Amino acid sequence: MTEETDPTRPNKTCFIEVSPSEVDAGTDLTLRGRVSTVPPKDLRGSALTIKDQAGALIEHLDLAEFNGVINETRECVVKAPLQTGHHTWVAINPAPTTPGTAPETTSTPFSFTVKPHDTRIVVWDLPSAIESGDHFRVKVGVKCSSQCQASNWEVEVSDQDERRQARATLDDTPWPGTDALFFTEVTLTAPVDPGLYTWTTKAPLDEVNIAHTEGVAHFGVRVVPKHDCLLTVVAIDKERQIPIKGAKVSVHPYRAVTNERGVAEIKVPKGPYRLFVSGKDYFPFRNDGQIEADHKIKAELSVDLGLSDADVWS
Amino acid sequence: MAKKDNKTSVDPKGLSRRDFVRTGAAAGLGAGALLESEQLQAQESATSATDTAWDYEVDVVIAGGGCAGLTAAIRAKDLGASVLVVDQNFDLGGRMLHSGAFVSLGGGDPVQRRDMKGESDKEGLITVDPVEDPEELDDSVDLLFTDMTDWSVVDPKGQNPYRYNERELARSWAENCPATRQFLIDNYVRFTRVSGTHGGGGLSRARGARCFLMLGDKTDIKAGTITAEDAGVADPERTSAFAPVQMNNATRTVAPNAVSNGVALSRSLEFSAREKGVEFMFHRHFDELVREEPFTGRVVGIKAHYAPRLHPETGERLESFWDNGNVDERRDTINIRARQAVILASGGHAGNPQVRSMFYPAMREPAFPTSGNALQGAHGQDASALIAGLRVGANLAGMQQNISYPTTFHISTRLGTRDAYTTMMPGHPTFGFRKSAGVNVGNAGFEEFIAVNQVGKRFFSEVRLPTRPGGSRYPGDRGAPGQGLSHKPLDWRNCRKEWVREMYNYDHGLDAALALNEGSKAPDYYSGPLWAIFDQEAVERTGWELRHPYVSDNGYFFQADTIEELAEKMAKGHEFQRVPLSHLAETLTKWNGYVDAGADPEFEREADAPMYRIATPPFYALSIMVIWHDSYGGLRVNGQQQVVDMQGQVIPGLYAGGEAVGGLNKHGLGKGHVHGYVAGTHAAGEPTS
Repeated sequence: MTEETDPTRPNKTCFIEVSPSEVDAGTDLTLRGRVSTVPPKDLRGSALTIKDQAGALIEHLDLAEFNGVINETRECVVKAPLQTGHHTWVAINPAPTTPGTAPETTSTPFSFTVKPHDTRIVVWDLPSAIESGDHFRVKVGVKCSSQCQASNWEVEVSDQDERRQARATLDDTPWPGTDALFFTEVTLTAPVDPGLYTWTTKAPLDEVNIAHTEGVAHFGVRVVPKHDCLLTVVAIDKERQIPIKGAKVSVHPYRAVTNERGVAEIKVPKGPYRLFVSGKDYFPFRNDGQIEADHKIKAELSVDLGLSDADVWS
Repeated sequence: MAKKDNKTSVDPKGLSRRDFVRTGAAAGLGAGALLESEQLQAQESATSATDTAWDYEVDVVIAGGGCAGLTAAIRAKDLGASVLVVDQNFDLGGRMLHSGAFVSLGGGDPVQRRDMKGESDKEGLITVDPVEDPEELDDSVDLLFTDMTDWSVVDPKGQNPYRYNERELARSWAENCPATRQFLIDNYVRFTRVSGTHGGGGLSRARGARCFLMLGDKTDIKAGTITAEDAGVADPERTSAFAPVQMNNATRTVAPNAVSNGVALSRSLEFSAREKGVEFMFHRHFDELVREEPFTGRVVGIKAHYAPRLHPETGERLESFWDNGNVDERRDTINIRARQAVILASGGHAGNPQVRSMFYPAMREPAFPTSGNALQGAHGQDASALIAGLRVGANLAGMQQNISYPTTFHISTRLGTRDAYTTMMPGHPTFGFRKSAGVNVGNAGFEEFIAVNQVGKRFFSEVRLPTRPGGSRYPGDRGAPGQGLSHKPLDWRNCRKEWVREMYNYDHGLDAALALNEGSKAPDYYSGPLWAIFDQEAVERTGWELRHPYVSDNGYFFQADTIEELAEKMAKGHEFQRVPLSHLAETLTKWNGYVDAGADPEFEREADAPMYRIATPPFYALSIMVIWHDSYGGLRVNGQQQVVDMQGQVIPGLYAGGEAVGGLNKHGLGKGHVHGYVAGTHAAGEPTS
């Protein structure tokens, strides 16, 4: 909010409420003006004229309400400038209302900041473990904070050494289930040496109509050696002794899901492991061990009974 | 009940003493006059009978129509008193109506004896064998009293559930348990087989039974039947105006087609009360007690104001399911004279964040309501009895016991609803206050998301958040020294250090959830709302149904294309989200890094459950609720449920029971019903004034 008292007319005060005070370029900016005088004067019928720093007319805000002390305009939505940075506009009050009458105007400056749109990047469908040197695919999605259509924007993926691994153009339809997350799928090649690498994706690569920040997202690429052993997990309901379909099997960083027979197979390297098997409405089963050869584990899961309302609230 | 003719309390042409005080102060009287005025005002901090013109007159006035109030009403009516129950809600039952109806009594009560003999109930509805062995049911008043005052028991939070119980109150409670059970049976309440004991009900014997009805073609309390529609079991996504909470299958403890919960208890008692001629005044909040003089003499009535509950969509006044016996009184404030006694049964203070914060300052946070707030409304459990009692000089008891029952406050596994303690579905008129039933993810579901505070930071291992220690009760668990009969009362070994260390199992996730964070601002330093953050992949892993009636656009569920957008929506759309979730995006990046690394250096999640990246759009947020369930501290009463003042003297004509009372760390209905039975008995025996 900006408050100015006209030094030549100390009995008049003008407020311009600007919302938001930091606004994305070219998006909606809400203005509301309030004018008070001493003694109070009903200024309805006059208007505040809003002009930008170049003197171009933006809008007239009619003083539509008077509560006996303060004259007030209604909220008015205008478009913020496309140019980013600090902007100072002025509110001129009152505008001439009677032809031939010299207006007694005051000029009240008010300020706001125009910022570039945020570019938000999402990376998903990344395999939790990738064998050294293998190709793998990930999805990259981009969304603008002000809902700009990001289709056809270019995105780039670079590796831990900032070498470009892929460049692609976003599709023109959003990812299912989202409003405006435009995406593409890229194929990448894992490093040869096992380890956890941090890769980076950026967008937009080229200038777009409205200023946007460069969106950056990092993601981990877990490279694993060739697998030695086959770990077979059979998930069973402990009480009913029936197989559990769809149980989640996790031996970090390897993952699998059990089939109709409650069976999941994971290839893992030799060495120590921690196995979790969990399922909807089951408490997680944990098994720590050492694997040196193909191995089978029966995971008996207990039902998550929890405490029902009836148990607790009686 | 008599309705007084002189309906206005002040002659419009004259001035009451109170009016004189106000007028004098406003007129700017001299210093001497002002001093007199202040003294008078101090005296008027409680309402005296001198100034009061009565609008209604009755033998016994009861504030609150829940388990204690309704029981007291029937009992007093049985003994010949005229009874008026005043309730702030639009329907009867209080919390009893959507409770689990687990009534834990004992002392050799009629259902213990029935099950010991292997008999069915009188109507022959129970066809299953007793659940407990006869020796586990072989109880006595003395054993129950011993259990209720057993100094040696320490619970899994390292606290003593029985040590600090008021002894006179515990003795009276134990002595009246058998009679109360029979009284409930005599008023259409049907009990299942005894199975276990409720928290705070002792370790030595099985003492708890639930209440049931049989599914049938029509709802008939006398016949013990209820339709599937009324029971809320015809459609998994509907409840009914009769049953705000879906009834549970009671086949194991009764027979096929038996259903159980608080509906079977509350509606049965209500039916009996209405049949016997108890009268009810709804939508009326109990405000003050009226005593002969502010701090002396008998309590002779109450002052109560009209606070209608309106339908959240239509704006129409909500009405009780049954209406026989209802008194439709809509004046603003009225005075009701009690010729014999006033009984305070308007509940505890769990719904009043200012009052409950004396026990846990972080729970002054209003984002977390008490359980069942949709059904009970804004005035439910608002400490009205406590406040009114203090104003007439009552003493308090058992205030520290608020933090020594494991479910007093806890984190619910039902996410995405403000009212996270109930299975209420559309069909009950107060569902609109909830707008969503929530998604019950169970304990295991907490591995699927990260939990963040109001600034978007994690605060504890998610999978440990919903864990709760067991109560100290028969047949024992990690909180009980031994199992059932093997428990030796009053044995020092029950609290020896080695055992306490072994059984202690409290996870402090709730305390971390309530901790100060960067968004906590003076003077209250609210910790703010809590959120479960997850992605589309979690939805596909779990099958959570993110649709009506489970979630809605009510500020407790959000969906967005990116995590930044999710944070923006949450900050804008939740009524208690006072600060931006400025750390959320960074927290998510960090979390995904932990998942990649296979280790969570902050909270060691990798030790308890698998960890999943949160990366697949769209992204979701469901509210996580801390629930303060019930109250244990309250007004001090003696063995006749008479309220006692701070000089140890009975306040004549004033009784209290249920959660309004402190000094008996006993969870739930078993306490309230016995209190009501005792209070009703003695209130009806008071001389008529």
